[in-house]
Amino acid sequence: MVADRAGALYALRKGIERISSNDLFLVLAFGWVFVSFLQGFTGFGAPIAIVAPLLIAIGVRPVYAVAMPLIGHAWNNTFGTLAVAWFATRSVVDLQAPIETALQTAAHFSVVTFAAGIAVAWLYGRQSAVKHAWPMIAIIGAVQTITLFATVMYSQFIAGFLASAVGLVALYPISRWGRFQTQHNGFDCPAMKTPEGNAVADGGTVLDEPEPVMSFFESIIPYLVLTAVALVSAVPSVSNALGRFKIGLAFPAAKTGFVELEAAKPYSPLTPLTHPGSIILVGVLIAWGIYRYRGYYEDWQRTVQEAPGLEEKSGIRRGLIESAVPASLAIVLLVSMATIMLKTGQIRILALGIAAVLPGVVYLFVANAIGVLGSFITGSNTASNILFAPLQAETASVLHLSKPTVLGAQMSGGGLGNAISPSNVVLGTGTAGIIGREGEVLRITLKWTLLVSALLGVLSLVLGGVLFLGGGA
Amino acid sequence: MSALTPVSANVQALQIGGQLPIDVLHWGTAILPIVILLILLIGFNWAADSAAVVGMLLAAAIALTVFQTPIQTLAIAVGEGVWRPVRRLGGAVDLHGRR
Repeated sequence: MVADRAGALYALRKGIERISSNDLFLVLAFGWVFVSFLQGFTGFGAPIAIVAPLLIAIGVRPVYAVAMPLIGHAWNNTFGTLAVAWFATRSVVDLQAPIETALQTAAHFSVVTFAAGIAVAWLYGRQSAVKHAWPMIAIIGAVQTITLFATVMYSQFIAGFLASAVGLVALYPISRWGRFQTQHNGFDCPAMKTPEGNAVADGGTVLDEPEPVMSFFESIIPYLVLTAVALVSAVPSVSNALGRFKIGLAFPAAKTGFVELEAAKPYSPLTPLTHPGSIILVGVLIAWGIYRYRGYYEDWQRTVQEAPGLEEKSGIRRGLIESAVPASLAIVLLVSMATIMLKTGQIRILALGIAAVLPGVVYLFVANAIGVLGSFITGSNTASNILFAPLQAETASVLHLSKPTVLGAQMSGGGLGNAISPSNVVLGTGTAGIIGREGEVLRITLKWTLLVSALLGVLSLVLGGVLFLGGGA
Repeated sequence: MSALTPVSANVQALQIGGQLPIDVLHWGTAILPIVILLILLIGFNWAADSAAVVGMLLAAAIALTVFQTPIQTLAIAVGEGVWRPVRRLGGAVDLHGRR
């Protein structure tokens, strides 16, 4: 909003168009590569919330602008967010072979990132777009995968961040390549708004788009600040210092008919200074200060008044409060639903039931689906791993399956499930201004998730049954 | 508490079911809120907040009846549901806190 009112998104779009006028390149750059980079060190749905408006600024229809980053960021969940979800697994399961487990997990995630690149291109323009974009998908996917494999052996902490950062850097040489420098040949682009609506205003006269009030560099200041603040606060020592400032509520232990959860530890204290919301707030305040100081709000007001029709184009949306309230309400309700299902043992029964009836080979195939279920309901790869990694490890040893493979399947499934988790979807629809159309987004991402889950199942069978025959744990 | 026997020997070997009754009734009712949530969102194009109300109430009703959860536990779960999103943008559920 702060950026919008000062015409920053308009300036950003203009600036992006100078880098490349190939819409497909831009959609992949934001909806797959940049969102993954953000997922490398932020998380909790923030990358979706940030990228959806950027895609709309390029001209992507809102439903697709939410679905694309959901699909695009999923691969960088376990090792992204500075590998919180990976260390969560390590805290609940005793890994006898951490390096092999990390490599098997990375192998599963390489399928997810290639599938994401192809899916984003396919959503943009079906087969023609995939055909046009394949070298870009192959290069970026390979760069991400190779970096992930190489890093994950030495430091899981930095692996996801580094892999996605190298992917982001690889965008530059690709943007210099003629194939992706200029607009591609015409093919149908169901994900894009029709150009007529943009260029032609009243009476069919083509309006010249006015010069943006600020430079491209100034328009990306909020994102640079956001990146810098998030990076600095992710450094462990800084994070610990800021995290000392806590506000906490104590929740008593939970008793149910069947399960008893010990919970008496000072429950989930709020650490306002490391809260992702605070980081975003700092970025917003600095941007507001700069734009205010340079007088961009007034300039942009004038520009908008002089060029009728510009307002809708540049995507100025409803007020922040108006769009934030239904999203927060939905999240509170969804998380309440999740905690009820967790505390009463409903979620555990689902996973145990699957583990109980399936023979080993079939279990190996659906192991990732249990991870998907966990993050679908909780909206978090970390929570999915804490919930199900112990169960998966135990089932693996009972059924004599390769433990690293089963855990790799669990963690990649937990990452994949973020593409369909309603609490993630709501964050995207909130900033894209399409609250209430979550179902349309889910219809796209659910199909992809089921398909990739099946692919991961096949990979688990290969890795656990052929390559690592008998190599349990 | 239901005295139904586990469906397969896997569970007995796993020994991680605890007192959880693994049977068709409990499995079927546990998956019901998730299925209904998906049907309302995707099949009927409901907004996420309306669909989540139904999903939450259904999960609560099943908890009270089939899973014999005391009402106090349910209240705690809802309280946490309100608190967690405040902690984390996006309401990521983190069972054990950050550390």
